[in-house]
Order: sequence, then C-alpha cells, then structure tokens
Amino acid sequence: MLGLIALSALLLGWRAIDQQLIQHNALQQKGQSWQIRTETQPAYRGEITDRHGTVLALSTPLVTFSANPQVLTAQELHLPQLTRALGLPPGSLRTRLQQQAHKQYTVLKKRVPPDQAAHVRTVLKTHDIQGVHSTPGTPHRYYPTGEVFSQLIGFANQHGQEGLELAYDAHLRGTDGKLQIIRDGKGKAIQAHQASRLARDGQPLRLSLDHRLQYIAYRELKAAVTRHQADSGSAVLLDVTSGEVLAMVNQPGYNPNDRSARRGPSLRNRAITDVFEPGSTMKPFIVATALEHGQLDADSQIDTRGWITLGERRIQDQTELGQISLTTLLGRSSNEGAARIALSLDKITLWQQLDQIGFGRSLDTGFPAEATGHLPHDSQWSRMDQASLAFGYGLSATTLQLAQAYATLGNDGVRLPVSLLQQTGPVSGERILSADTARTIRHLLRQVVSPGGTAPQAAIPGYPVAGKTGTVRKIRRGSYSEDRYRAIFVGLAPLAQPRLALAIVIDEPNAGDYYGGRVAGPVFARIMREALRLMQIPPQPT
Amino acid sequence: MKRLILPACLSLAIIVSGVALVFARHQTRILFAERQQLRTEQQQTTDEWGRLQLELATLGSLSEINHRARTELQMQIPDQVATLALPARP
Repeated sequence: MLGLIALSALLLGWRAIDQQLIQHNALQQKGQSWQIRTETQPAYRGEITDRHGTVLALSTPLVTFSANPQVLTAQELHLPQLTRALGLPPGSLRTRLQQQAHKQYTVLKKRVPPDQAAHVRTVLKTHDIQGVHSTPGTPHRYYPTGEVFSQLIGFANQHGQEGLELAYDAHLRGTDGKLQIIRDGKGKAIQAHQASRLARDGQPLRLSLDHRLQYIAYRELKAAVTRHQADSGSAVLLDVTSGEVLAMVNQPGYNPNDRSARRGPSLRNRAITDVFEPGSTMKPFIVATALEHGQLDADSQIDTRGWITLGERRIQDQTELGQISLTTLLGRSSNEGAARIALSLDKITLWQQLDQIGFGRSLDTGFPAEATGHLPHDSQWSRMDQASLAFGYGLSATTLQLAQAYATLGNDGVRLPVSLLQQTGPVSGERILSADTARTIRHLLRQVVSPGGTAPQAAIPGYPVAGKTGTVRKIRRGSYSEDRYRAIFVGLAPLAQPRLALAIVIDEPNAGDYYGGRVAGPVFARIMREALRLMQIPPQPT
Repeated sequence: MKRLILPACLSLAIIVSGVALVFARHQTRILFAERQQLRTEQQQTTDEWGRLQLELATLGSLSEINHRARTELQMQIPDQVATLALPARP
C-alpha cells in the first residue's frame, strides 16, 4: 500500500519536473497563444409563413469572416482566390495580413450575405485553406414577397417595428447567447466559461393568409387604383366558415426590403387602421334588423314617395321608384326606402342589432393601431341620424369590419371572430341573426349584381354571388364633398353556401368613374373568380 | 499498523480523485470541441436552408411566374365556355 502511494508521488513529481523545466518553453508558447474572448451567439428571429408554409419573412445571418494572419499568410498561394470570393480589392488582403502579421485575429469582411458566404466556404474547402473562420453576425431580415404583404407583415430590425412583426415581436424574437470562449492559437474553441448563456431562437408564426390569394388581390387592387387614379385602396378576403383572413391588401404599398422605402403613408395597413362611413353597404343590415324583428317579411313592399323631409334636410333617390320590393330596394339601392325602414324601427332595437353585428366593436386582432370604428349610441340619435344610418352615414367602420359583417350574413347569421393566424381547431361564434334572415338577405342581394342592379360588373360567370355597392361622399372640412368619393363593394360567394367574403374599398377615384359598382365591382369579380378557382369551389348552376 | 490504514486509504482516494479530475477536464474539452463543431455545422445548415428558402422564394415568385406564363407560354385563364367542371372524386 505504502509502496503504491510512494510510486504515485514519484510519478507525479517527475511529471511536474518535466512540465516545469524541460517542456517549459514549448508549453508557455502554447499557453500564450490561447485567448479568451466573449462572443455573442445571435438568436434567429422566428420566420413568418402563410397558411401553406410559404416563407414570408425570414432571418438569415450576414456572415463575418475572420482569420489568424499567422496561419493564413503561410498559404499565400490561395490568397487571390480568397480575395476575389470575399469581394475585396485585389491585393488588399495581402497588405492587411502583412500589417497584422503579429496578431492572431483579424476581421476579413463583415456582413457577407448568405449566398456569397456559401461561395467563400466552397473556395476555402476546395483549396483547403486553413485559419479562416466564419461566424454568423447580425441576422438580416428578408421579405421574399416584397410589397404584396408589406403593410400586413411590416418589418423588423433587431425588434419588430411595424405590422405583425411588431404585434408578435415577443413571440418571434429570440434571446442572444453570450459565450466566453477560450480558443487556441489556431482559433479552435477549447472551452466555454461556465457563466456562458446559450442562444434561444424565436418562435415561428403561421398566418391564416394564403399567399396566392394575397398576390391576386394585390395585383387586382393595384391595377384598379392605378386605372382610376385613386388615392388609396384596400381589400379583405375572409373565409366565411372560419373567420380567417385569407388576403388583406392595401394601396399604396412599399418594398420592405428597401430600408429607404420604410416610411410615409404606404406603411399603413388601411384595411385595419382606417375607418370610413360604409354608405349603402349598410342597407342589408337595416333590412335584416327589420326582418329579424318581424317588422317586414321577404315579400314586403315599401312605399317611396319621392322624398322624406326631416327638419330642413331631405332624403331622396336619384329616380323616384314608387312602390318597391326589398329586392328592388337593395338592387337599386334606394336611400329613401332604407331610411323609411330605419325610421320604422325602435331605436334601441336598431342600435343593439348593429352593435351585435360588430359596428363600433373591436375585432381584437392584436394588430398595432387597429381601429374600432364608431357607432353612436341610440340616446344621441336625432331622427335624421337614425335615417342616415340606413344608408351608412354617421357611423364608421374599417374594411375588415365590413368584411366580417358580410361574412356573418354568409355564415347563416353566426358571427365568428376574425383571425390573422391560422386556426387549428373549430371556431366558436355567436348567433346574431336567424339563419332564415341571413339567407333571405343573401338572396335579396343577388339582384345587385344582376342587369338592372347597381353592380352587374361584379357578377362572376358560373357562380351566383351576393353583394352590395356603396358610393360614399367623403367629408372635406367638416361637410360632405360634392366631388370626392369612396367606392365600395362587399360580397359573398358562392350564393347558396358562401365560402368567401370579400370587401373592396377604393378611395377617391379621379379618372371619371366613382360609383361603387363601376369602380369596386369589377375588382370584386376578378379577385373572387380567381379565389373560387384556387379554392377548388366548383361552378354552380345560376 | 492499524492507525496507518485510514490515512493511507484517504491518500489513495485523493490521488484517485485527482486523476479523475484531470480525466474529467480532458473529457469536457473533447466534448466541448465536439459540441462546438456540431453547433457550427448546425448553423451552417440553418444558414444554407435560409439561403435556399430565399432562392426558392425568388424563383417561385408569383409575379414572375404570372409574367412568364402569360408572355413566354401565352397562357391565359380559360373563360366559362371553355371550362368543364368534373364531379369531385369520392
């Protein structure tokens, strides 16, 4: 036993003498070449995809290439290739290495984009170049779909700045790691300090949107805004059966990959943040309230006498329609007829019904600066206010709210919450109209897109659709303008069992046409037709 | 003699644990180097994936496909007359 201990002591003693005295110089040199550096391990921001997994926003790092000059200088032969691959001026690398010959670390190039970095690595590998290291630097955010999703997704630098990038920043953002790493002379990591913290990547986000439908909606809206020399526009496509937003586009747009383009009114996701008076697109809800509360039935006739006088104001249609059915009232968009119905209803009943439909209510999408619109309380209504509501003046809503209200008609009266994220389970809604009322309104709205209605341009060959036009005078300096309009069309398809609701709003068309049916109607038809085809909804007998 | 057994055992234990410590440190370094290597590989694979995703997005850009389909291949959306709806397969 004692012998064993003595032997061990002897061995250890010899090892100590060997290391301290004999190999002293060699080991000291080795030790001095080691270095401790604190390195940041960048966390990746989560990617944003559409409902099918197509990438809409992606972070990938710009790479930093560094080298140990003492090792790299020895491989002079391959320097020109490396210089070229890094995109440095010829000869500059050699000069730098000579200047820094006494150092063990020098940065060759920062912020190298991913495709170039891949090329540099290939060069390193084929020529077997030693002593060059690549470390991922600051991740860079790319938006492959450019302006098509611009206002919805927004953009991020280190943190989300606009749009969904901002709304879901905490979810998408990761936590950078910090590592104290000991490296040897060749730059190889030997050990990490115990206090180091590893990087935690951000979570991915899957939207409810479909990038194909989004593209089509964007293309058609942009074409229409250009054709009519309009100020701006927005469109929202909803899945009636789930409340999911399938497309949400705005004009003007911007390219989020271009940092200098990231400012001004193009950033606004108007479909969610901008409110307007919905005009005649309100009429179906007034008729629905009257049907729901037994004031009217589908066969009722409304007697329009040419005008209604309320105090000093007069409500009048462009042509006198006389005794009209509800089909004609909606098909020809009679202000007087709608006003007569609104005035026949109890104020509280009307307010409650419109409130339930969602006017003036928050949609809770979580989108930054989401607007709720405004529905004044019935206690504040004058007779004129009550009548004006019937044709959509005196209240305000966003394009998304309007699309949702029509989706409720399409979903047989059950209001579903709207969602910008893909829904994984069944969605529970709230019944606010009877299925009968909703179906009746849909069939009445078919007249709108028929010849003789206000929007035959919104009809789609092969598919019966329901919809309603709105042509709204804009408010300028506190009163209604005579020459500035907003053209609106909202509709549902296919008629029998709607799958899609689409709202189109075009602001201040300046090329002559300004009627909702003529400006927004054709955009509805073009987008809806493609959407029905892409969603594999078969044509139906008309 | 009996009084020496305990100190001897303890000395031996110290030597053994000392050697074990050296061994463990050595193992740590090897495993750390391996982890570092794998981390680098993982990073490069992730970066490569990101690069390919971007390439895919560029090549698969709908506006590009739309443009080429219409101009190079003279494709167009058929009108209703040219459309035949087949019953869905069960």
